[in-house]
Amino acid sequence: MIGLPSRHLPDRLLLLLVLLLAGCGAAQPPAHWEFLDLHGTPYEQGRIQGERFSSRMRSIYTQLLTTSILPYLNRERPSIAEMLWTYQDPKYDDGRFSTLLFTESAQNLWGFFPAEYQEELQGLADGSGMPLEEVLVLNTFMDTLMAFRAITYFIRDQSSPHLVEIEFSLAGQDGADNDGDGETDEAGEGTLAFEPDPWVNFVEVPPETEVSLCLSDPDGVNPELVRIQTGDASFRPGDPGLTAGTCGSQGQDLRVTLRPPGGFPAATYVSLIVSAGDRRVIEDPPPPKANMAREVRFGFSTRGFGGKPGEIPELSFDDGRSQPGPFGFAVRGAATLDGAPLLAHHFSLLDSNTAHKHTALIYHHPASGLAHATAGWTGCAFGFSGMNQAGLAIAANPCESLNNPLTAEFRRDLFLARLVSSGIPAGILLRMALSQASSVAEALPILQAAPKTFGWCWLLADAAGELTLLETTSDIMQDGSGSMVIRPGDRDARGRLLASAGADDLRLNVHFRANLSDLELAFLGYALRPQRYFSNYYFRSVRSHHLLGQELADRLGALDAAAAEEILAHPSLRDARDSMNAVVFEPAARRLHFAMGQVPATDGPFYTLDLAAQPPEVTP
Amino acid sequence: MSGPARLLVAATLAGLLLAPRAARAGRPSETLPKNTFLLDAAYVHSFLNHAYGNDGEHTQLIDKLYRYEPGGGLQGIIIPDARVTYQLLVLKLQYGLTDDLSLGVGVPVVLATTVEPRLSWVPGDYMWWLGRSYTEQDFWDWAASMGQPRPGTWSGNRGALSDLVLGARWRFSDRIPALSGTELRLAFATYGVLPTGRQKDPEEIVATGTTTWDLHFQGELGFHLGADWTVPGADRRLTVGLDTFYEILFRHRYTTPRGTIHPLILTLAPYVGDSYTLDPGDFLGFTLSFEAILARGPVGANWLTERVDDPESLPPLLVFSLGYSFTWLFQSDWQSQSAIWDWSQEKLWRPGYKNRLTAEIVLSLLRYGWPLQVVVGYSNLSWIPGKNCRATDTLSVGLRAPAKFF
Repeated sequence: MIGLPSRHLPDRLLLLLVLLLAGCGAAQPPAHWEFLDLHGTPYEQGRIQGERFSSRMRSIYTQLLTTSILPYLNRERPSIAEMLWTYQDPKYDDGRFSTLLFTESAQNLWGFFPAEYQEELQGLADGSGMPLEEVLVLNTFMDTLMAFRAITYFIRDQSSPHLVEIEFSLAGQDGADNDGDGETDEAGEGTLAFEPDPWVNFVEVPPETEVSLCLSDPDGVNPELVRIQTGDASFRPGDPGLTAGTCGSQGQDLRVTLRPPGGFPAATYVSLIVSAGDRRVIEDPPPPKANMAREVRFGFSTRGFGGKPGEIPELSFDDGRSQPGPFGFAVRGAATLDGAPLLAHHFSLLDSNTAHKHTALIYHHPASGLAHATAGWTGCAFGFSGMNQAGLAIAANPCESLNNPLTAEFRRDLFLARLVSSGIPAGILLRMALSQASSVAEALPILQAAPKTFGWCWLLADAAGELTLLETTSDIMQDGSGSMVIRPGDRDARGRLLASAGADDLRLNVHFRANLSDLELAFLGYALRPQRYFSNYYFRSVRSHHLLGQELADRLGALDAAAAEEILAHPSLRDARDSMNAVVFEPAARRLHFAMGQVPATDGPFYTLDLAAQPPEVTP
Repeated sequence: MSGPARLLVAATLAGLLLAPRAARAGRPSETLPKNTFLLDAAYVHSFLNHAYGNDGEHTQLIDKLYRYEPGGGLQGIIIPDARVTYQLLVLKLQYGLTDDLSLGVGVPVVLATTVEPRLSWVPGDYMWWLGRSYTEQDFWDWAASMGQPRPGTWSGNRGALSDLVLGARWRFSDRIPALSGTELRLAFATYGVLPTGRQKDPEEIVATGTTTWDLHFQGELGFHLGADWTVPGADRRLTVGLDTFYEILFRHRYTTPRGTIHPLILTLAPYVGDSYTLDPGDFLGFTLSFEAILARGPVGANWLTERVDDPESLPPLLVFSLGYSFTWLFQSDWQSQSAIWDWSQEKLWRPGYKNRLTAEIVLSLLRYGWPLQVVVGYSNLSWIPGKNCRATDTLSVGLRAPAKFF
């Protein structure tokens, strides 16, 4: 079909002249972030967002959900339906599984939204022309997805190889107390059960030792899928330095023994990354693959390195494959250049070449409550970081846990359970706290009391310099363990700093520091265990935590917003492929700096929003 | 043969006798003698397998597709090294309304189009749960499980009409006394197309249509100002031509794909809108041409030469011409409900230029009594790099027959 000429010829000729003079007007990319200063009722604020972001709401929904996450999750239906019979119902056929999963979960979560946020979502729907059902999914899918993913990791973990035992051949005859139990070369000293831990628990090993790993799987471990990586080499059975044998009471398990050519380096911290898959081939969903275990990491030190078990951080090394995950930190007083508090956060989770094109900084002025700005995405009423006009700043990270509503459903209804989330979505809860609280002390009860959709870790800072790290779960056992508070300088039972480098800093990652038993539950033959035993994020987060600690320790006393921005952009710390936004809050100055719209977010400039300025203005 | 048929043949042959000059229609100022027709039929074979990017780099016709696993990083990069082949039959009929004004109509018919996507794969991030990075087979297995087929070779457009072209050329130098008797000729030409071409099926990822925009050879409304000058001496064997042009491609409306065939790649309508418009941007440029008479050929006695007042005015036996065209390409303008998507398209069609080399050889048989010319042409866009353009090369073989009926 042909249209009328878009411009009349004289116009074209004039345009031609202009273009020739102006370099021919190449199109420019649109900005990938938006700023909105919102006033009015919750509905009006939602409607304004909907009108402004209509196109971007549709494109993030289509590109992130319709053509990415939804079809991707549909592939999980067979394994889910095998365990949860509800999902064998034909209504989940024909690719409707994931859509219904999100929709049913969203509808349940709707009841947990406070009225003003329900109104805002209705406004978003009316303003954008999108169905409320889709707007609701857009505002809840991350919470549902987190819990769903934890369940699928758990299911996968049940049937994949596990590292059960580690043996150091010479540790029982080296004249050293390698395991720190106060005895030297006692029987069995060289053998230890594998335990994920942020600290190195075996030290001063003779460099010429062999390290044997016993890997167990009901279907048998496939030696061809075993790989052991050190900081400078990678080994497969058959390679010089790595041999395979058997272990286990019946010899049913696979033992791999590593002794690198020339031995391990002396006086060194050594870290190993172990990958393993079983002999079963899973055809559905494609592509065909083995049951691969999550990659586990553990370290030890060789003779001469010094230090005792539990004192050496499990730093591991950059494996060249994985990304560190979201992180943040808060500092104050002696840690900062001017004594004023700072909170910095680099959020990463799910970009898929889409989310970064749909970022938004929204400054909400609630009809009742405190004005607050959140860094989020177009069409999303929430954000995972924000600050209010009183100078309270909060950042949230998912902290993977099976202590979540989906597990509760499973525990209650067993094989007839539905994977329906409940609780207040984390980003909405963050806004509730910002809207209602002026300080960390006021915010904590709000965050603690609210029902949670998942395991979430919260970092809070206020204008007075109060800093707190809060670890929460859904507390499905109702044993009161769903909330743990960490403050700067807090230590564990062994006297190690939990999340600080000093007395004026805290750091946020995606593993629990205090809540080490977030869920331990056995039923129906399943063993639901704490985060560190199944989370694919765990070891990466531990590494990130230590690296960030070192970075902060090096800069204590010299930290300001610019330094914080540098740390957020540090290549060893930031997620290069699923980075979503980066913010630095200056609570005392009511000023925030944000970078978003590219991946990683910190590859672009930071912009500044002064919450105290009227009208608020974003400046470079 | 029936009586009317014999009359038609006789009239045609008689007409051919009176239209010798018409066969030389390659110069910017060339027009047909009054009441003369020139029928031109050419088979054009066009092949295309790369483009030039924004930095003038050699690049693929279709942008690389980066595929991500939700939260798992980059699966890999699909690199479509597409190869497109067009086969066309181009029929042209020109008519001399006066000695200095000719009209013409062109009927391009696409005989067939083939698009081979020739997909290759660059593995992405390591996937711990897979125990490896996605191989190409892994990826397409994965994609198939989500309803996304691997695009295969596409063939279509069989016998499909492209846009009809109507044009006129006026050699206005004939009206300028100062140029009378000189070897310099000036002409103005214009043309426009009728939208008879076919748009591609929006749901097909590697298909192509038959519109002027798809062929990207010329605009939909063009204005040419040309001059040619025959070099004195040298037996008037050499002519130099210069043609400047401005060609317009109009804004059109297109249907947005809904992902019915390619749900992961082409589900665009929910945010782009049910349709979008595209103004491809105009063309501005010039063509420099050199025409050489390689052999005039003998003017022997035959039924044709005997009927021509000046047999030496019949076209030379063998003419060879070379041309170079520089075309500036203006920025495309895509307008939909999604500025992000608009940019994703516009960045592929930013301002640029193309450098075309052409060569043509014309074997004219009129001096031997055959009212026919054989034309072989070659056009090349791939030898001299351009910018933001497709590097199409074409080979054409055609016949021209001049005729005069009254």
